[in-house]
Amino acid sequence: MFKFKRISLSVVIPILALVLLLIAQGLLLLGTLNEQQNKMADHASQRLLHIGYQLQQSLSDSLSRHQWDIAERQLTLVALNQQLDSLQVIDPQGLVQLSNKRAEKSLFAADNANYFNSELFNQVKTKRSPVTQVLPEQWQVNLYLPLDMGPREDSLRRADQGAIFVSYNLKNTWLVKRQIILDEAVKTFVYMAVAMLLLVLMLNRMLVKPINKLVGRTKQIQTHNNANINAKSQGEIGALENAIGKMANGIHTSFAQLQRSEQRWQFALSGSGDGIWDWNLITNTVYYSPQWKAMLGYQEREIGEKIEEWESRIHPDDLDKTLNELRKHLKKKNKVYETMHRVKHKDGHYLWVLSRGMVVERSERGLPSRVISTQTNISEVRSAQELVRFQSSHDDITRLSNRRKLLENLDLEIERGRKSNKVGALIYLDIDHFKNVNDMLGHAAGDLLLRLIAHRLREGRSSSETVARLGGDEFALLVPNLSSNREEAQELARKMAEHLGRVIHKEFVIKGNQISLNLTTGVALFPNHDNNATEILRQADIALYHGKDNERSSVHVFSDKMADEIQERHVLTRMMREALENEDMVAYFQPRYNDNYEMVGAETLLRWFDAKMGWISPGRFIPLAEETGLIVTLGEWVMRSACETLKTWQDRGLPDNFKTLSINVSPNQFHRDTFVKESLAIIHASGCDPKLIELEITEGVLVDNVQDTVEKIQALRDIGVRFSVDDFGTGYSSLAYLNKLPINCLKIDKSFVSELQSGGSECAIITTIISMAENLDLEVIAEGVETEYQLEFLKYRRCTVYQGFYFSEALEPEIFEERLFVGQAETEIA
Amino acid sequence: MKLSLLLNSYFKQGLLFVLGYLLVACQNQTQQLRVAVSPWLGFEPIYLSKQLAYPGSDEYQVNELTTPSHVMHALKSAQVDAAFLSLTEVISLLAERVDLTVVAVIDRSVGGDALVTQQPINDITQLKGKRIGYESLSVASLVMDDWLKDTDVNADDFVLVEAKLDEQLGLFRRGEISAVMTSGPIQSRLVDNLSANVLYQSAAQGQPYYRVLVVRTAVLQNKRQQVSKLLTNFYAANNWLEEHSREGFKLIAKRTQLYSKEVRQAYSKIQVLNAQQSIALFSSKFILGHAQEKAQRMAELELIHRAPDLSRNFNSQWLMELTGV
Repeated sequence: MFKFKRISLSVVIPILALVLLLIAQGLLLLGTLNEQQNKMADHASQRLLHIGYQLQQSLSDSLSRHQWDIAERQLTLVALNQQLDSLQVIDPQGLVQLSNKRAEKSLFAADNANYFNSELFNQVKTKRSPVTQVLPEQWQVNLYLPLDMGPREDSLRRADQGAIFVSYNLKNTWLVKRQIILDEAVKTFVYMAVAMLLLVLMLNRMLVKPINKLVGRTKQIQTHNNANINAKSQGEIGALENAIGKMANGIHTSFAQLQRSEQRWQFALSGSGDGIWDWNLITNTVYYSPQWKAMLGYQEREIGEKIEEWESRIHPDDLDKTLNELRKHLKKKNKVYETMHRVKHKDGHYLWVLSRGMVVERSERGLPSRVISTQTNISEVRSAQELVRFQSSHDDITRLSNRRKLLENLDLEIERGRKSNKVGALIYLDIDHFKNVNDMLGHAAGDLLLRLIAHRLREGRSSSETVARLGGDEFALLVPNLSSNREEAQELARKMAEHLGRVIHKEFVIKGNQISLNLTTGVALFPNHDNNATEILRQADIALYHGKDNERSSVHVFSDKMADEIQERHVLTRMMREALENEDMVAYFQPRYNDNYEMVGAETLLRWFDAKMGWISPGRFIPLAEETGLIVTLGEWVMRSACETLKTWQDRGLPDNFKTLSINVSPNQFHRDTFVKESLAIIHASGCDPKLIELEITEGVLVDNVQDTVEKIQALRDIGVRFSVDDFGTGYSSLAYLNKLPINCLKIDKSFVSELQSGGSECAIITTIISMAENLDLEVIAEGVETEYQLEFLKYRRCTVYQGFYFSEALEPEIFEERLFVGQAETEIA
Repeated sequence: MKLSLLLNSYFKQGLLFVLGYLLVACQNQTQQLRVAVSPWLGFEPIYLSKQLAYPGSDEYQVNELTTPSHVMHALKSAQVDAAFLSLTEVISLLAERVDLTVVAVIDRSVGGDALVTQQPINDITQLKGKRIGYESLSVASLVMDDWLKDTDVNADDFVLVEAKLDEQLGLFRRGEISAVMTSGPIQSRLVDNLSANVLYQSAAQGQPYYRVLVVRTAVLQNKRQQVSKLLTNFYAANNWLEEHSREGFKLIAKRTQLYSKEVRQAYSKIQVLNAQQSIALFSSKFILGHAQEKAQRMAELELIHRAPDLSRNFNSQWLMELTGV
């Protein structure tokens, strides 16, 4: 379709000017022609009158003298001179007497074909004044002029007037004039056209060409960075060139900046892999970036330009939330639109994405017209988050719920239980002696065993029940809604715990080893008063520990009494700390005698007297100290106290028979990395002779990390410290270990000595131990000698050092020192 | 739209304009050809063309003047563009350096002029010392010379007075002149109405006198079309007259207010030439030679100052275009 606006100015302007000129000239021409026509008629009339007047006199004179030939001559010459159509002298009767056309002579004027008007002729004759007759349609101007044709020959009376009739046909004249006017008009037009052409050329040179050039250069701006526009043209065009040149430079700069920005953006996008959608709300079209499409596994052309391409791929569960967020942002209810949702990949699986966007353009009415949003694939992050969330609420090894998760669920179930009046139970499970298995088979096997245990615990459990691992070898099972009756719920929980015990007791096979485990279980019911989850767990724990203290591999239901016991333990522990700080504990010494009743040594035993509670049995606080870890502090205190006391004895002068002062070392104490260093420090600080010190360690110590045990023992042996194995025969020590360990002495456990008179296997055991010790060049000490029979038996079996009530109980330091320094060992036991 | 194309377009338009202008200019023929005609029956076909309303007859304006002198004057003063005159009168004008071109030879007359005397005068002796009137600027002067030579008399034997054709009748009637060298209808009026005597006829000498159509040279190109039309219509009317002599003479008689027989009688002394005959006179250079001789004679008679070179004043081009030669 013809585009008028594309026509060049150098065409339009001249054409317009030409058209205007034509119109103007046309109008002027019409006006001029019309004016000239009127003027011509007037002018002709006046000219005829002028001619007529001239002729009037001369003709009158000639006719008066009857000089008709002269008159005719005048007539013809005037007619020729003035180019008149017809010039006649008409007598009063209307007869043409003279005419420039001979054919008209002697004819009546009215018969002539020049529109002679007899009335006007008569009027002229009568009024003796000229009359001009204009006949526009005939292009004729006629003049009737009165003419005195001379006196009457026969009378003085004036003769009638004749008339001069002048007829002038204007047509030819008009045609000539019109032609002249037209010629002028054409000439003018031609001149104007030439001028126009020159103007066009100048216009083209000064205006259109520079503008076209400018247009060309401006077009180049889009594609060429070096499209310079120099202001070379005249006046305003030059100014325009200058302005556009500056604008072009500005555009180049901006474009370059935009390009760089775009590149950075694209680089960032491609680097980050984020997608972009750019939604034009007015046209309802969307630009999806290549990264957006690639993220969802689509090719460039597989995604259209509609917003539905995105909406239709949102997960149905996330659709409402996502679109609501977008709507809220569009309604300016939030500054930025942000939402995490799932989007369907081409393969059919869903990706987690983070969509963040905002309205970037608004209409004049403030309505959003353009929204841009980024889409970041957060599937991995999400998975990581979920993993973290899972890991934060689940045990790493067994994948069971962890303590935190258990407590969360317990809180929920407590609340539900309160509302529904249903009683549930928290079953706290402890694998008996799991540590031993772990130590024996290694941590990897231990983890595997834990997983197997978890699997067995999970089996058959409903979704409302929570199986958790609380750490180490402790598990918990949350069982809600057991019964509305508390006793019934307790019974059901107990049975469930017993069932679990049986389940766990079934053999596990780990690395070819058959392992059989037992459970100690603590049960706490909920809801219980206003107790929260933490308290319920603590109650279950108390019940468990009660079980550990009393009867392992059994089920113990929490009772208040347990709580009291636990409370008592806590009190005792606290008291123990205080006692240590206040030095309320005292190191007693129980002497050892040889078969000559000579004191050859002593064992340091800790005694504790509380002002309120009286003597607190070591059997009560030592295990507690072992549990709480206080045993390390206790042990160090005992060692320090014994060494310092030994030093004082040395300073006083120990009897020659006194060879050793033994100090018990707990496994916890021995296995500390700093045990050797601390022991050496204590010994050196005290200043006592290390050769007089004998450290008693249990068989259990010998089982763990033999190499480390050997090194520690050897390190202290190097300074002369002796080592004895306490309670020998009651532990798991292997004879092979005994051979490796640089120990000095074996102490036969009192349990064997006390059963000597029963005649059981203890005799054989004791005999074997003594024999083995002889063979290993180890000393043997018998503990718990309380009767002469026992003594004699031991003597017979060649055991030469004895300790027990037969000789003495543990004595307080002053009394022991009296015995040590005063005389020989008592021959009779008080 | 490209400028080159536009310029081409402009060029074409400009050319069209120029051509149009030229066309318009060429069509500037509305200005009539003004033609003066001296009284001579041989020129009547031009009036016939008007009376018969030949096409294009409005392209020329015919002005009938009463004397050849007036026609000469009108031509000299550019009051007219063309004129029907005798060759002698044309030579007079050419001698006065009036730039004229003879485009056609109209007719050849022998005996068309005559010396007519008052009724009592019958011979030349009675005429001596008397006033003889003649139009000095016209062919009558050569006819006078012919008569003087023929009668072996001198001009000073008489009193020669100017008597233009249109005043000859009046002068003769009033007795102001005893004789007059005249021609055509005047001669007939004098003889028929005033019982005048024909003392001499130009036929006696046998000298042919040619009448021509002459056009101002400056007008020839500008009014080319009109000239052609004039010639075309004249010869067309001429042919018609030849073919319809009776009717034609009547029309002539009516216009000139003569009797038909007078017209016929006058025409008997005139040999009207057609276009081809006229062309033949041109192409043979006869008319040019004849004109040169006449000019020489007029110069010898001191009718003109000197005999002009007439070689460029005769052009048969229009006749040839007319005939398609």
